[in-house]
Amino acid sequence: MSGKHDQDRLIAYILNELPAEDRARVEAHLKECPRCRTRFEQLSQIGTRLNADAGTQTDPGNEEAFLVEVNQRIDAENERRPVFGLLRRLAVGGALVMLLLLLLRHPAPDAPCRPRAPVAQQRPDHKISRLAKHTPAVYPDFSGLLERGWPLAGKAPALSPSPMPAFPATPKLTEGVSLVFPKIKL
Amino acid sequence: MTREITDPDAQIILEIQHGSRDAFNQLVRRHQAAVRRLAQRLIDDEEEARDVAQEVFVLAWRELPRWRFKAKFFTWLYQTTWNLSRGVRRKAYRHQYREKPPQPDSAPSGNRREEIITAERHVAVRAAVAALPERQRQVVILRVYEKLSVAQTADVMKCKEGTVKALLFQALKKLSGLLQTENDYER
Ligand SMILES: [Zn+2]
Repeated sequence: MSGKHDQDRLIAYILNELPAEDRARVEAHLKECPRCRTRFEQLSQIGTRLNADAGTQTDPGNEEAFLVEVNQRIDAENERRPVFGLLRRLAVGGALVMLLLLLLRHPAPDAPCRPRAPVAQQRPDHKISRLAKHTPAVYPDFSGLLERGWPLAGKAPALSPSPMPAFPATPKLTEGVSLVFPKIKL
Repeated sequence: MTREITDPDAQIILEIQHGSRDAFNQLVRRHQAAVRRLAQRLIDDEEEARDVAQEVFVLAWRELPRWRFKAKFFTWLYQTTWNLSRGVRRKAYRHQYREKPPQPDSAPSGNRREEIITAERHVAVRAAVAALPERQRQVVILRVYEKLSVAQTADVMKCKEGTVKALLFQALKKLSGLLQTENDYER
């Protein structure tokens, strides 16, 4: 801090990080510089308290049991991993096949897209967002339609004669109710 | 500019990359105290801290085969311990904030009273550190508690040494403000 107000050195001094020679230099500067002295008074107390608190934690030291446990976890993971890897590859492969089939069997662009029944009718109560719960359902009732099984039964209906009722007028959207496309099971 | 990384763990990591579990165990022995200490500092619950510390080494075992020596291994250890402890830590510190040292039924005297006052002061310091913004808290824990050098702290925090110094100064100023308020209340 020779001559200038070196804040970093002052902090190193407070944290007891300086060699004796540098400490002496800081102390000499503090004697003659009221500005650094004020800063020192402001920070030294907190430095002392932090150092004291840092000293309270006992070093956990080296522990053989810790090492053994780490090794057990690694072994357990190594045993699990090949199975998981295989499952993951199968899942990814399956998903790709599904996507491909879905694309191939996708209905014509002018086929009607039906909204699902309102969220509130489908999900268990605890899964409904607070907003959706307090929003009156505005959709027409599709439950009859769903009971007939399409598209859940696995086979898309013939286009003519249509087993589906005419697509209802687009419901007026209310905040909190979302339009969701039906899941198609192949 | 690329910096030359001289990592004291380099040789041991090379052996691990050749599949040596013994070398890995040596690495765990070398660093487990530091990792466990940092995790314990960040997480109130001892069991959870131990769990996180173990997870750090399991991750290391997974990562080391791909290690490219672009950073010192201990830097990675501190960063990973910090990150894994984060989610757990927030919960722990909220708890610590509420926590008060045990209050005796009758007025304590002599040494016991001193002990309680000291314990209260430590709780206050930790609560004040916990109240710091993330980067300032990190710099205080790494520099003051873990005694890392400015350069090591900068490596762990992925910032410049000047930033570490500035953050530490800001943190100390803020802490002295926070603890001054607490002293005023005590009076
Ligand atoms: Zn000065």
